[in-house]
Amino acid sequence: MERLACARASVWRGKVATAPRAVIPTGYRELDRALPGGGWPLGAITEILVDGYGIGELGLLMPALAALTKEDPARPKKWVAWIAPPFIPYAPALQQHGVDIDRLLMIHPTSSVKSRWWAIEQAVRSGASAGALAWVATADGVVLRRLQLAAEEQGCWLLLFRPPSARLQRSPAALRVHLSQAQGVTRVEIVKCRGGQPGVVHVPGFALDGAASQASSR
Amino acid sequence: MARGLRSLELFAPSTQEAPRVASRPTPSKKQLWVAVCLPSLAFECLCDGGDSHAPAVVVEAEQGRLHVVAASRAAAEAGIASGTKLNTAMALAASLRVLERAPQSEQKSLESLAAWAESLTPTVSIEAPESLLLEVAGSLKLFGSLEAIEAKLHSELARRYRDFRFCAAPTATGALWLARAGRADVLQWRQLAGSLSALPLTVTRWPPEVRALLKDLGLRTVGDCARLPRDGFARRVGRSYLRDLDRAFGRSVDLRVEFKAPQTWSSIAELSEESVDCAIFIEAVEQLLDELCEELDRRQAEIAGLELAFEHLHRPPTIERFDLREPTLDRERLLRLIEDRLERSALPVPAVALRMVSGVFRPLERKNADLFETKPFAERAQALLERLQGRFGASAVHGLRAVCEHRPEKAWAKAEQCVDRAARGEALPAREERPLWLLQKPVAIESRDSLELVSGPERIESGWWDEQDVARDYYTAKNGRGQRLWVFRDHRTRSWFLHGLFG
Repeated sequence: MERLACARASVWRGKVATAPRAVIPTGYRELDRALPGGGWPLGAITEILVDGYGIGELGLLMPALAALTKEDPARPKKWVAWIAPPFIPYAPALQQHGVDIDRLLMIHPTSSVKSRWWAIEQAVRSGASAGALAWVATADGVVLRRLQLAAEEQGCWLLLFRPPSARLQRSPAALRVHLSQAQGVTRVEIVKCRGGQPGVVHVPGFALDGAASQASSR
Repeated sequence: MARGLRSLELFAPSTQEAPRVASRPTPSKKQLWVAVCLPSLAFECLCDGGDSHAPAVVVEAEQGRLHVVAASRAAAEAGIASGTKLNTAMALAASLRVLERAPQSEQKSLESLAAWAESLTPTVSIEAPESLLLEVAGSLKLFGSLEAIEAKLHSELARRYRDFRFCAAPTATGALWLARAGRADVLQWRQLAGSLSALPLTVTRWPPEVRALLKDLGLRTVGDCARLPRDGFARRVGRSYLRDLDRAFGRSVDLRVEFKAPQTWSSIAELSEESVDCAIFIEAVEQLLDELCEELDRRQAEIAGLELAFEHLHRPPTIERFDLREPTLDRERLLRLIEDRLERSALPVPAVALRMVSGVFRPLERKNADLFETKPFAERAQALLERLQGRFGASAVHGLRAVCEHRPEKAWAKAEQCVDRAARGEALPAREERPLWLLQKPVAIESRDSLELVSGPERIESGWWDEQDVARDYYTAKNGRGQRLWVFRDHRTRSWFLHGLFG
């Protein structure tokens, strides 16, 4: 029976993962377990729905970004583009998290929505970015689909930071997570996950050293 | 009889300043020159295409007299030749169309031909007013044979001109004279003297008075002159004419000014009507780029920038400059760059024509392609930077750099994002935890009541040397919304500020 199913790729086989996808480990065991393939999906859009800044939304990504920017003979050297970051990504802190800041490219498009999407598309489509982080408020389905295809084509990990209200919109993203902060831990709610199941994961807030433990000890 | 005697006496050897006779050809025997002669260039430059049956001549003023430089076929049949006085020509052909010579367009036409001829050989020189010399010995191996080169030359000349001749010979002057006379190729040194000797003196283009003198002396051909005693000829006729003979026969070195094609390119595309429509501009740009890239390809050159000028009526042109980070000859890349800009910028008034001026040509640098990756990272990255900076300005795209500095706002800097950067001295990461987000400027906090200080203080002080002295106690704080903030209290003002978010 199993052999029969294997022989015909079109036979739907329930929950069995269809194809191994390129992922990058998140650096959090609980989260890796909850995501198909065991990490953030590369070559796809990951939407991060977040209410405000400073609740650990960047901290959550730091282990993966550190891995992505690390010199790796198996992976060609590429940039990680930051498009329209709301504040200054602080170089000393990024270094503390092990991110190679030489691989980061900051892009500040003009304020119009159109130019922001244009910049994102350029960064993804150029094939020069291994990852792209973009802060956008509004999006329409056509643009997102196009970006999803471009990301797939170039194997780029495209992260879109969007407000929680975007949850009601449909999106072609492979993964959508909603972040919130609760008692010193970051609550990661998987809203949509291609090839996986929605769920909630708690990861220790602020993975860096003793800050979290300090907080809890007080 | 008396005259003959006199001339014999004149040509008798004299003791003083006898020019040296080179006994054997001194120039390299390996040279092979092709001379291209365009007898009716002056005419063709003026009336392109329309070769009507009406006789027409091109005239030029010399010493206050107009005389014919070139004549159409109909005029030639009427007996008008180059050098005929205009009055005579008018008498010969009743309905004669007289055109004034345009030396500039002739020169342009020759230069364009010379630029093309550089695809056959690097040694091209223009022989004003209507000839071109190519040294092709070095190209024989590349093209296979002289016939192959001449076939290429023939098809190009036939495309450009109606009337042309070319001839190959071992010396430049020799080739030129043979071409003017329309003789066959001379490939052997031993045949050269014989072929040249039979040429009439008109091929030398020596001044009429010199030719008249030689004619009076009973000399009709080049060979007649070459047979005369050298010092007598030099004294009687002129040293420079003897030099010409020596060059033609290969007895002295024949140096030519090499033609250097211009190192820039420019062309203009007229629009069919006044327009502000981007689509029409793009169409014109594509057409111009086709020309430019063809030129670049032929010259094996690349450019690092170009200029696009929109010509308006009654107004100075609007000029758009495009600078590339890396020189290129890629048409698509240039087109995309221009498209991006044109889509965004609107013209103040309609344009009637587009002029494209390339930057200086640079010799093409060939890079090895990767076997598996279609395009190397460096190329993709350059293209990305170029497009982003082209649209948002150079300062909108940058990298990051950590700086060894205790004041938080000075501990980072923008870095020019280069594709291949050598590893640089790295600033040591701070020991204390730093926030991932830094605010552009510290923001004053109205009330500190909602903040819960989690850790700190970390004292950061001094900076008097650049008059940005600080005295702050930094804390990590938490607010009701679960945000972790980096705040400080200024010692002097005792007020609180938000400086970062832990992100």
